[in-house]
Amino acid sequence: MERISLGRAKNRVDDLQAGYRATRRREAWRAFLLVVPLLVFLAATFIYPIGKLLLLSVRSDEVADAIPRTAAALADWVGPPTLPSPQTFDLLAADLRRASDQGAVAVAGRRLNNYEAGFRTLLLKTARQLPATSDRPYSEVLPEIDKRWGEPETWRLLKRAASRDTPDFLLRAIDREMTSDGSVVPVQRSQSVYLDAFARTFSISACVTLISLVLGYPVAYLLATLPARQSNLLMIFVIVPFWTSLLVRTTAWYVLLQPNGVVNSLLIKLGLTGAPVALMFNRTGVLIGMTHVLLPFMILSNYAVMRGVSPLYQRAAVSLGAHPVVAFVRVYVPQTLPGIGAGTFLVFVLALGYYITPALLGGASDEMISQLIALQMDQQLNWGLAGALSVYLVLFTLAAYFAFNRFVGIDRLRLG
Amino acid sequence: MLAPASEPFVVFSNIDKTFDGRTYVASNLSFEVEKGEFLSLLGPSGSGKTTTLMLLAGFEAPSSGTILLGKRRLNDVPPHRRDIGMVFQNYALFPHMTVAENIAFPLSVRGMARAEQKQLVERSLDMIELPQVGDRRPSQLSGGQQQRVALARALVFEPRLVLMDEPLGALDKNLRETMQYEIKRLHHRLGVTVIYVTHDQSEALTMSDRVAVFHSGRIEQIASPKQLYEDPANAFVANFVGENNGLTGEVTAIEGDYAVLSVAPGIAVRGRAGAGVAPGHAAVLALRPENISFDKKALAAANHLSGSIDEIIYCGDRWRLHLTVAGHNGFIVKIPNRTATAPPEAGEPVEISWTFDDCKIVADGRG
Repeated sequence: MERISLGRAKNRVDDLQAGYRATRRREAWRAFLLVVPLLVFLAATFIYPIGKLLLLSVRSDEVADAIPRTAAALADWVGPPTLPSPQTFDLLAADLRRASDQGAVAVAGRRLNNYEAGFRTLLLKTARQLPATSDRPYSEVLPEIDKRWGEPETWRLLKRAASRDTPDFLLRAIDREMTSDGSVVPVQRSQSVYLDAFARTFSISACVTLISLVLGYPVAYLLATLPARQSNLLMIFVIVPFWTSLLVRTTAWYVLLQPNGVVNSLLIKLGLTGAPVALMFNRTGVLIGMTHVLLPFMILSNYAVMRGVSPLYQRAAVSLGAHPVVAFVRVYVPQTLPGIGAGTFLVFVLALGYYITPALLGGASDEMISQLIALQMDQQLNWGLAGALSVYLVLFTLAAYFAFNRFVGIDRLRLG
Repeated sequence: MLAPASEPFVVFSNIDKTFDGRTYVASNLSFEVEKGEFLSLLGPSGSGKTTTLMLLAGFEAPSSGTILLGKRRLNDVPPHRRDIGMVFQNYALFPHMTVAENIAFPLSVRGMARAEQKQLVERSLDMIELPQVGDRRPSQLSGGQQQRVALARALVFEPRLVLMDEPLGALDKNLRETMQYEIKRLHHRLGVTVIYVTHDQSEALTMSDRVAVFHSGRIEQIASPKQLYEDPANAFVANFVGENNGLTGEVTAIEGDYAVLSVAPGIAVRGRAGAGVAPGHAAVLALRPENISFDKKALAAANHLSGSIDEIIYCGDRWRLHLTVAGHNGFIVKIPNRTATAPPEAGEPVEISWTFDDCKIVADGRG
């Protein structure tokens, strides 16, 4: 009897668990179906292109596609100080002849120019002057066209560029390069730009974040503590710039900060300065513009958290003997930490990728990393390097996220 | 009852408070609290009781008048220097601190050494019988436990006065009653002066040494619970504290200590005369439902009225009857439930009676 009833009880529990799991599965399916359209959209427009660009940082197909047989032959070559085998010269000649028909030589040349200026010219010149047929071996013909073909270093670069996987872009993006013996060394001082640019991007972003916090926190506090009517009115002043186009706002600062613009004439009229102060095409302009654009993010993040913090806590602290300032610092501020964290994180990360504002209001020494990425993409057409710089920017942003999350717990934040 | 101390500890004299310059939230408040006393401020919401508490805590400043605490004028003392402990309705425990840190907060802002803080915190946790919760966050505690921690925090720095603003409002009924006794016990043990705001009249009656009944920014009556219930000063107090059969009418005569109130043509009742009751003026009967008897022979010097039973409600320990008497319906009678005796039936005509001394004729208040 007892055993039977025990068995029944166990069956009931199993049924219960099975039922529970089935319900959970159905809920999970439903949730998944609801996000499918967005997932597809994101995959097609965001994840795929970005992944592609990031992959470009370790890919180098142009040369290998243009001279495939030469590339294969070069893979077996041991490198300087010897020259490649005469067959390799022949293969290159054949490849160049075929590639010039397809216009791929120019593309490969541009890629080679990343390693050494003039390589593109060399390649195009060689392709142009290549005789249709030759009785002599090409290991003699090519060095006659350009003596550089007789130098192993030329072939080394060609071999490097012809390999489909390359660390070169990732190294170049942190001002490093690989020497002929395979060791990694810093590039020449005159060519080293990217580490400085990363450091500059970091310091500008940090400054903008700090200024936004100092300016935004009190405003958010005011908004959260004022009666609803006044608070809503004030909120409009915060939100309207938020809705205005970034370009419009930056252009407005462009006008305001001119040497004979509104701000300078005001300063002069007030007698604060005799001559116009340089407010743009320098760091000041970048900081003013970026802070103005990013401030709403700081205010709104903090406001969202502060609205949920009852003023009662400060009252309680004061009633327990804390000076109002002490009550604010020890009781109020710690409760708004998630807001401070979310605000500083948002502003910092958005600032990391800033482009238009520093481009318009900054000077030559205020170039941020996004500007350099853009430069590589649409002027230098060096997508590999652009991809490599982006990889570091993404890693940098992720590192910032984990750091912020660790210290203030962004995932604890509830908006609204 | 408390032995009267020689000096009043808290003194409100002629306190006015207005937020907009037109209407008073507190008007001409004057009262005194003895040292060690438990005073409740009772009233409907918006009657000024919480404002009174805030004036004392220093979160509001009086528009005129003086507040004294232990002979010291409080008006210009900022709230954090008043040394008044306060317990809030929603506890206001700091969510980012542990229970121990919460209780240590008033000590640490006073610059007490850490070792000493720790000792006092432990003693406080023992006092509220929660010695093991020190490391937890307030959100991990039940409502009742949070309330105790809030109490401990308000008491740990040995304030001269403790204010409580509806501290039990968020608890369910059973827990509320337990906490009432707990607070009483602590009050007894520590001998601290307590001013307690509530809108729950039974809470005020069971806990307090004295109760101040607030209405529209004024104190209608300040007296012991017994006095308040049995000897209400006016119609508002009679109707607000406990249940009342407030028949209205006109006073026809004053005979010694008694007044005669005509409640319907040809029907008059007699009761103790309250202050300000005069012939020709409107007045209200103050008669508790449990003082009414159906046994007319047993009572001498009593009012006798006839009526009919509309409704009978079984309440476990008693019956509650709704009657129509002298043309007024909603007349309430409570009779104890003795299992052996059957209650009257609904629809029956009944004779009810109560003694002259069990009721009071009080002035209509707002007249």
